[in-house]
Amino acid sequence: MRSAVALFGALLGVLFGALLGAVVPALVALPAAAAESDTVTWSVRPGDENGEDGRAWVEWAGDPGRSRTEHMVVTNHGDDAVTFRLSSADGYFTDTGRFTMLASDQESVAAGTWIDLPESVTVPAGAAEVVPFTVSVPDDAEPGDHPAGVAASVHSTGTGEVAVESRVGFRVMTRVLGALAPSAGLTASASYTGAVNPFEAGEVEVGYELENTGNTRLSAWPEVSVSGPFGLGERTARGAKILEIGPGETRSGTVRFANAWPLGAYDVGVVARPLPVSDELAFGPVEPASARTTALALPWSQLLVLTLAALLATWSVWRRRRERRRTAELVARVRQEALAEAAAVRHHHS
Amino acid sequence: MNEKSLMLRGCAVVFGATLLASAGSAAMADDEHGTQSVGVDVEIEPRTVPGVLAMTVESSSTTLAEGESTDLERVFRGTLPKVTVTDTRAAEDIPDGAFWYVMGTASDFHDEHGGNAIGASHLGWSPQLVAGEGEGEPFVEVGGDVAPSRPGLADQELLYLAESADANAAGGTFSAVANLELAVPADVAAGSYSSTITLSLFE
Repeated sequence: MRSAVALFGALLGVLFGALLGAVVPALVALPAAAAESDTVTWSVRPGDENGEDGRAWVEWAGDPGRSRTEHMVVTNHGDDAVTFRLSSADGYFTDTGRFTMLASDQESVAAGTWIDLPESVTVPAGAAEVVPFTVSVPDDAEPGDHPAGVAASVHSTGTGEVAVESRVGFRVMTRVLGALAPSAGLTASASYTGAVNPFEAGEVEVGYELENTGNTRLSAWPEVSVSGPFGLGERTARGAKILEIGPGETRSGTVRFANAWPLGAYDVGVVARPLPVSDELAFGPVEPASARTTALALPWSQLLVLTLAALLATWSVWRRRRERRRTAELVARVRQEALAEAAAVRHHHS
Repeated sequence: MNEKSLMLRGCAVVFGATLLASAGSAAMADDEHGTQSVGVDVEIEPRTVPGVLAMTVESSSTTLAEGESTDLERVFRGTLPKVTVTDTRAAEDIPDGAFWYVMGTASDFHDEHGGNAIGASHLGWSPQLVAGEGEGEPFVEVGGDVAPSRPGLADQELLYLAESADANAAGGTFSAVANLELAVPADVAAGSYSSTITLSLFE
């Protein structure tokens, strides 16, 4: 019976999914193609004096006061010569772990100011230009990782309200040698959601925030564990892997444990060990960051069901007792009447 | 007396039926998972010319036209010019752990003459892949829709390569467009506002 219902449900699901799959692509309405306008196609890669050298970004380590010359290769794949504006800015990682650099209307205050780059470069059609630039570490630079980026950009023409500045670039990661102090801090919060249906289990949701409190880039893979009283229902799960987080940045994540019965209270612990981002920039083992919290998980719907059952049982017992008493009374009364009648008849006869 | 007995029995029946239904629905809620596998064959010719990772943009700016404004809110819509990323590199030319992405950030809207400004968080977008240029490919994705309210269009993904080792082996041309939406309160000062969206391709 159960399998038949499940099979029917699955069939319905497949039908619905096929229908959706056929309908959705048609529904994705594409905006009308813009009138043919000039396009610019270009790429920007790190390199040396001779051209691209296969790197995707620049990573180097130096003492305060050192400087290094790198090269930026700008290749114009289009049909017209283009003048690109070159820019350097502070780099940072977004919430989703993507590296990006400050937009041109924002001022750089950190590693973006260490880079000395020409203002612009004109590249003929189909050709590449190698642009040298220098990264100079100030004498008073803090030890640790300092992200920055360089890019070649084009600005849209025309008088529309929304201009578009498009840029292609790469990151320039400078590690200033000195006392590297990798460390991280964790905070966590947890909550339990019970199911209305007393036969269904609820869910524990754990949110955590990892902050890079050291001066190096870190990666981490937080581990969350929950356990009920006396270690009942203990489970562990990993949060999303954090591939790269810069000094001072915070990353948050959530882990959900389904099928959790309301055992009163859940003990929640989150642990994350800071790890180096790559083998070249390794550091020794670091104390893991941890956080503990509790989530109350009271069995409301189960208690409600039990209370209702108890009430009904009590009611039924009370009723039966009252009925029994009434029946006994009735019997007693009938017997008395019968006795009285019998006595009256006897009296009558005598 | 009869009514009371009926009520008790009725309550007990309802209670029992509800319990039964709950137990039944919990038991039937087992998920049925299925997997499908699709065989894919591809013939990759050896490369003679080193591949590139390049971005193509159209050189024009875009205009926002007023849409269905209400008494409380004025809505303007436009389209971001098409952005195309071409990746023709061989898998071995791509450094380990490298994958490209295009991010977008909007600046505040400034009115040159009036000196007023509209915050960048009032601008939102909804990116889409372009048919034939990445749509339907599993390893290239567009960012999610951004609503024209806080935090708005700040460091949001437009188009990116899903992070997997197989993804890097697939080169190609991928394009995205995005519908722009600007929503401002109805009492905003009139004027000619302009803003700049910065699109960045990094790896």
